[in-house]
Amino acid sequence: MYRRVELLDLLMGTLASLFPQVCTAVLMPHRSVQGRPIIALRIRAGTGNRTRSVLIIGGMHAREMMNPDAIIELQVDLVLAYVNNTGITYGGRSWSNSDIKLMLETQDIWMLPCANPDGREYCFNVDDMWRQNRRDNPGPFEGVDVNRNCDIVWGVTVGFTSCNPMDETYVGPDRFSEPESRNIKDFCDAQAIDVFLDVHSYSELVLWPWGHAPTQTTKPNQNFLSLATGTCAPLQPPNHQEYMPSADQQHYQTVARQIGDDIRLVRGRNYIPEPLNDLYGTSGTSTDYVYSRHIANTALHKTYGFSFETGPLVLHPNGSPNVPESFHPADPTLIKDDTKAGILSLLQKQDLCAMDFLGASRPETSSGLDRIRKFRDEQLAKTEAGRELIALYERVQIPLLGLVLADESLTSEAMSLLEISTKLVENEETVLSTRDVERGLAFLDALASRTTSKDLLTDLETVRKQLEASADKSVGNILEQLVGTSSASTLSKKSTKRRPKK
Amino acid sequence: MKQVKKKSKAESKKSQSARKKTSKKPKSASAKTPSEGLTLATTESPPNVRFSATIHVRNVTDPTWFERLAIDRVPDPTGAIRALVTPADCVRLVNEGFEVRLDAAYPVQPLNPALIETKESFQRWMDEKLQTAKRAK
Repeated sequence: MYRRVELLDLLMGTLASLFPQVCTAVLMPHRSVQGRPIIALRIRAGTGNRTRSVLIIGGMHAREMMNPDAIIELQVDLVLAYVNNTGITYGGRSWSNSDIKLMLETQDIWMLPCANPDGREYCFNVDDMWRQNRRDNPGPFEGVDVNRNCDIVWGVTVGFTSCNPMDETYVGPDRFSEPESRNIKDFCDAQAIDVFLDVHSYSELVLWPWGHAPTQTTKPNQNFLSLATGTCAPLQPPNHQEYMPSADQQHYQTVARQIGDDIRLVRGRNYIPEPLNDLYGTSGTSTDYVYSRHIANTALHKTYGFSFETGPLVLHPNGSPNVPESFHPADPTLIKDDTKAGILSLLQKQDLCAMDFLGASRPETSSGLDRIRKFRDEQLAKTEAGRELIALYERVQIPLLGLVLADESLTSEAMSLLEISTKLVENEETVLSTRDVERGLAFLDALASRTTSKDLLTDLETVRKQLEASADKSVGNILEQLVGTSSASTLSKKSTKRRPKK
Repeated sequence: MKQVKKKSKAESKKSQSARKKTSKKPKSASAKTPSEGLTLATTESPPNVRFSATIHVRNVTDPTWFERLAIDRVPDPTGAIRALVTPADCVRLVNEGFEVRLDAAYPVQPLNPALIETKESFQRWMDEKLQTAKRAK
């Protein structure tokens, strides 16, 4: 069943009214083309410091009707799990009460379930395959594709993007001409959003930038800033490849793969992780735009943009695609469970950094954390071995953080080790003492004794061996090993730098 | 193209409410439409039917030929270039030399009322969800 816009808004108003310490209903800066209010819900729990913000939107394309419903159902599930101190389960994937607590108390979660309310209502009342907003264009055709209207290579007819109002992928008369897309820009201007997710249908994909061209990681000067826009012509040069730092590419790949893994646990659906351009070429999309902001203007906050394509392609008995059933199936319940699991996975895997979390109460560690991030982005991400280390860290950080926070003594020890680590990286001449290594090993043993996960134990054992091998070596030597040798030897640095922080 | 015309006629009454008045001033041919084929279509009315179709080209000299189509592409299990096209799209694409194979027609119509949640059922769902909740402190 699909809910009209008024019911979506009613639910968010009810949550804000019943749980004011957790939920706040927020009116977006711009009403829709037809004057409807566009409402988001902020979920924020606890009183601790927040270092992260995430924005999740749905319903940009009106006929992709499952996603606004999935997002408000997730709002209810998150709030109830928090206030009742329970977990959340979708099919075969569960999140514990401490997982939920961690998600809600460490970040601001903004959810805008229906970014294009006019279009959604038009689907209910007139045309269930309507995609755009309800802009009254000059001429007989209505609507602008609000997910082609953002200021990133706008007005370039790459792939499935059109400057013709008769087309469903019409880019609009100007960049951000539409209030529905302008809301995304103004919201990101007002809030430092770390992670953005735009939920679409269908195809079962987890996507990330770039959409307008294939990605390359070696030529920073070949980027969108040099491309002509508003041309209503194909991309020039046609063989353009868009730059992305290898660290970001690695990050996107890792997180998207993890999200796919979590969705698969729900009921076995296989969401493929890939760049937007692998699906087909696009320009002016919200996901590309939010990620491009910090490149176009270095003063702006960096936002990682993701997109889902939820639900499978449904076929007619004769094997041809059943497009309406793919966009709004008669029973979307299971697809919504996949979607909600994917969003929770993103909230957990992408938007939490264990080091940030532990370091939040120790300001003296912030410069050391910055140095570690810089090393990660500028050196580790450029080698195979380094990328394996980053993947390992991102794989284990959340489960280990859960173990650490469940035990006060472990939390205290983790913070002390974090402080030691951030001091170590101040000077590459510093030698990692045997005493510090033994302390780190004891910490690893304590973690290992608290888990039965074979994968986690394997990772802990790998780190353990490398930490042992790092005793009495200078930080510089360890760093060189991390970047330049095989994954086996590089783990030693990872362990000394990162493991204690969990 | 017979199918296009036949279906369009059959469904035309259904979609009257969806149409804007065609007496509105047609879009200028000098607007941002790089192809003459598009100019042809801008004088058409909004569609009253869409088709799921695959689009083909006889001699592939440019492997990215499909990126010039300006259509609303949807996934296809065989990797074909599949799109939702309007009758006007069909005319334009054929005029541009493409082959358009239609395999399903979808009339422009509101969402099936059986799929729309009523206020009553929504209220029941919400009450059921919220009844066990403790109030946040």
